Amino acid sequence: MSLAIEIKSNEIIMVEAKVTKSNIQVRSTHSFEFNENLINQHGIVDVDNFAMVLSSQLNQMDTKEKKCNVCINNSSIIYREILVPKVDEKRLPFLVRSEMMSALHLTPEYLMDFIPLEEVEKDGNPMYRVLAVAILETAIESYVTAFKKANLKINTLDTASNSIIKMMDEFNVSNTTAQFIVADVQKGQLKLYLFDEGIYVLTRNTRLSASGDEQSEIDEIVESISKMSQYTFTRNSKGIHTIVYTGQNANLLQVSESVEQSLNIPGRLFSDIVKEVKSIELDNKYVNAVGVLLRK
Amino acid sequence: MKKQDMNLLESYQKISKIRANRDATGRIYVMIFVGTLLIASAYWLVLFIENSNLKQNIQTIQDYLNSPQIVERSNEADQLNEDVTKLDAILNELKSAQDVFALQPTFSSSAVNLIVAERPGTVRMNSISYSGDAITLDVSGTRVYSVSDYVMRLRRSNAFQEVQYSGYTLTDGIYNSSITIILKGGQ
Repeated sequence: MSLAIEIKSNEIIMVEAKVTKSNIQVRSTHSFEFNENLINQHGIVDVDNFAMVLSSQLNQMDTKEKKCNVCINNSSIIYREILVPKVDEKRLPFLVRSEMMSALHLTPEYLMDFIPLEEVEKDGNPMYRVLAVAILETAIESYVTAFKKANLKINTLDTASNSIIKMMDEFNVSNTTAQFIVADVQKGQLKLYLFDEGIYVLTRNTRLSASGDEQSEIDEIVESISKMSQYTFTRNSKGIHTIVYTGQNANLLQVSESVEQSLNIPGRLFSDIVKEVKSIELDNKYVNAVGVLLRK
Repeated sequence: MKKQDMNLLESYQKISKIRANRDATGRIYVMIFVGTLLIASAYWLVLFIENSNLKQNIQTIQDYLNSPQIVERSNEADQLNEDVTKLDAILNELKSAQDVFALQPTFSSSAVNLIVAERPGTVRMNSISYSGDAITLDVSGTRVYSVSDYVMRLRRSNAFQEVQYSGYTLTDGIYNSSITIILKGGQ
């Protein structure tokens, strides 16, 4: 069994699962909310308090795991898709770091990582398009320290975007030439991941207003998806073929229906795809956490 | 491309490792500095102690040298040294005088014996006198060559510095003359 923990802005998602190449078997899940002010771009604000809460929740979950894979899905992480020259793989990290610092005006205190998305040609020169992420070193230090205090050792520190990319690959959603959107509907937040030719293109984050009214929230989501759909026409004329819904919003089906009615874009719940492809029962709430257990 | 997944922890660990190595290098420099400082301090301490001991010894020696008994003996030694110096000076003067005396011409029996031995039978010695380094012979010869022959013999002997002869006076068939012999020094 492996333990995966997704750290959102105001919620922790924990999944204990056995992940193999052919199967994903979820043993137990647990989640808890906390004050949004406890995490900012510098990481965990009150490490001792966070560690105490985490330790207590792990006891409630009744897991014996002492190692975990962590998915960071909060404001402490910065994403950027960049183009870098196709050079020797050993030199890529330096190039990515340099590009990120230049593009986002980051200081040397930021740590960076990346995954290659595709090889493209720009002005006749071969380039890599990569998904790069940046996070303050102090933020990672706060996570490592807090987990250590909660008697947990971090194996990997991954990101929500990479997790979604891996899950889409794992369940063959990416195995299409069509353009599709993955809509991760969270409490008070919407993340839209655009894929084209089976390759991740970009992410759009939208903060949902906390009005408490379900219909107005659904309308906000539909509006955001509409904007993303309109944006895709600046890239090509293919349009959005389908929308894959994930996340923890209880009204995912209603959202899907509203989008289909308003924008004429069909949608499917990711949990249905998982069940269809590998006969696995997986709650959409735990998709990001399970995604970090998939390692390439 | 080999890299297909993301792990920010690896980046963090790499940075931490580099920093740890840098810190370790810094610690090594600090240790070297502290070690050098400690060695220098220890060496300084040793030198300080040695210096203190030496000062103490010097003080002891100075106290010893300044004690009345030693001062009195030192004064005695100085006086003796002064006397010895004076005696040496006197000795040197005496040696110089001795050397001078050794070089001064002396009137000896060997000179008289030679003067007598070289005298021809035709020459009579009237008187002989000695003054300073000169011997004056008052002689008479029966022949005209007698005195000059005598002078020539004395000169040939090379025993004298100079043999002075200024001729003769003839009185009643006797050739009277005076010969001055300058003695050689250092003999």
